[in-house]
Amino acid sequence: MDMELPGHTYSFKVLGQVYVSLIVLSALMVGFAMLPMEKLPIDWLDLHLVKRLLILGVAVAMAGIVAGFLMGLKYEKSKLNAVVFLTNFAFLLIFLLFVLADISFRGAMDPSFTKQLNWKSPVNAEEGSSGEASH
Amino acid sequence: MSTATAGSLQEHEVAHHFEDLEQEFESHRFGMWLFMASEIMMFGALLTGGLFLLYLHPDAFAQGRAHLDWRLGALNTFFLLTSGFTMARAAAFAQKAEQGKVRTNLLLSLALAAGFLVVKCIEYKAKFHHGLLPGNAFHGAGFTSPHAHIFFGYYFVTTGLHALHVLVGMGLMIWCLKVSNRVRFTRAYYTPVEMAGIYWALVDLVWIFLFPLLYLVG
Repeated sequence: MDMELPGHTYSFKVLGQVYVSLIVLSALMVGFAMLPMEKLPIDWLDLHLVKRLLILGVAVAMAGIVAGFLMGLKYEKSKLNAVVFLTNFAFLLIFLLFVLADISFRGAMDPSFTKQLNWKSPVNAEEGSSGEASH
Repeated sequence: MSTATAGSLQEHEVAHHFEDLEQEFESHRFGMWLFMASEIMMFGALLTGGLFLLYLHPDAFAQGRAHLDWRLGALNTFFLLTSGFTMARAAAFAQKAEQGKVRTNLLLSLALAAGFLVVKCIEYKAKFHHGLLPGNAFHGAGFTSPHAHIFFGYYFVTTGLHALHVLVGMGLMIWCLKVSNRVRFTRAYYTPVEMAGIYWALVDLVWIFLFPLLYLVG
């Protein structure tokens, strides 16, 4: 039979490495969550946000490993399958942008909404401009 | 061949509407990716909603998270990641035509998935006992956030839907076990285990985001 074999050939070694890396990353995620970052003497940075971004970053890395190796996206021969899968994330991004727009500007129409994102620059424009002028 | 019943196994026959095994496999895989796309849209919207709720009601999430045991969540993460590994091994052994090892790995995956659901039942039981329920059913005590019920509403919707997917995945594993008693898996034909494995990887993928959102961040 000269037919091409379907799919990719699994490697036990790669599967083992994937499993170990996922377990290590899970431990790292829990470790980040347990870090007492709020005790650090840093007030110019939102440490809660940093912690959340670190945890989310590890989750995204784990998701990439699962999609690439366990779902086989890395070995996918058909570009169409990869496009079908990855286009979803573009739509999710659009959805996320709509949510972001909502919490950014809802307060302009609904004064009772107090959670509006503050996009205003903390820089005092008058001081800034006078400082620039003095240089 | 590693099983005693290997002699009685049938070779897979390509369905009449496909030209060859490769076309059949690629069609199944394309269908699976389309299904995955719909699943990711659904869970993606739920997870985005969760981030939105976390932003709007951080106090509710912090107080709600205090009623979840991260060790149980971590145990469930271990169960799911390990079962994802054994499912991939099942597909790898199917390619090598080692029918007995395929079954062993499918059974291991099934046991780990059952372990996940047992832990989830333990968690749900405690929530029911303490009245930490969604919406008007919520009657938990000791909360200062007026939005604490929203966290538990989100918790039950997302974990409940995920648990439903775990149940479907277990059904797929049982189906693969039944197929493995009838059809010989080879490098050319291992489609059922491969498709069930992709589905199970999605179940892993969703939990990878649910675990930190519910148990770690707050």
